[in-house]
Amino acid sequence: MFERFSEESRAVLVEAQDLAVELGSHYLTPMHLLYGCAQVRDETAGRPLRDAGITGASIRRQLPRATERAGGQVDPDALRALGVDYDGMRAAVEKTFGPGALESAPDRRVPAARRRKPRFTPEAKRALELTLRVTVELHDGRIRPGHILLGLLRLDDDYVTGVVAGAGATVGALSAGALIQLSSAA
Amino acid sequence: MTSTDLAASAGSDDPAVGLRAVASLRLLAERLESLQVDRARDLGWSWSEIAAELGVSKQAVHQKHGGNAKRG
Repeated sequence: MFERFSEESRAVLVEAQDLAVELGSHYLTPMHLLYGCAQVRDETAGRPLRDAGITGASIRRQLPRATERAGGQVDPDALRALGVDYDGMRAAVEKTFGPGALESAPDRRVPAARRRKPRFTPEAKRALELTLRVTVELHDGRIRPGHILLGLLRLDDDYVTGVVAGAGATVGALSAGALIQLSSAA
Repeated sequence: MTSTDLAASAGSDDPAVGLRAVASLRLLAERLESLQVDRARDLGWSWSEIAAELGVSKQAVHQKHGGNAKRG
């Protein structure tokens, strides 16, 4: 399927993936794809989204950042309950490494979310299936960002339709805008 | 009763306290590792020597603490 993607459409997927990674998400959702559509330099998706007042920044604001990993803080009381003297440990470390060394030393574990690529959720996969279907229906050879946008809108995903409604736009108007761009760009 | 006493008395029973202690120990181990590895490097230790003491592979310790990660 991906071989039919235009260069810009591939860029949509890359932007979507980068955002998911940046926000610490293990999953790539339709919202990430919508963000990708708004981010890339391609008028078939970018123009109708922009006309509706939907930008990468506005979508981003509606996406949660994954909660910070628990255990980012040392709990001296919990350690003491285990018989571990945190103050004593800190003092010993400071003898060698200087004041505040233990508090400020970096934790170099790789965050779990960065270890692997985010996986497409079933909804995101479905959006790409719909994208392909739309492209075939329009008798277009290449999948362009506008097709991805149409696929996302046809998915009827609550988050995506929420962004559209939140901008005061409608799925119908946005779809029409994408179709116009696709037909004029063809 | 202070919060410290409370934690101490709850220590062996309360999973929350035990789990927080585990998370704290992991974090402290990571911070200590960074400090010790950086210092050993500054003192001229090789990655192999450091890896041997830590009980991990040379590649693992280099990937974690070498290059951009240093002082990071």
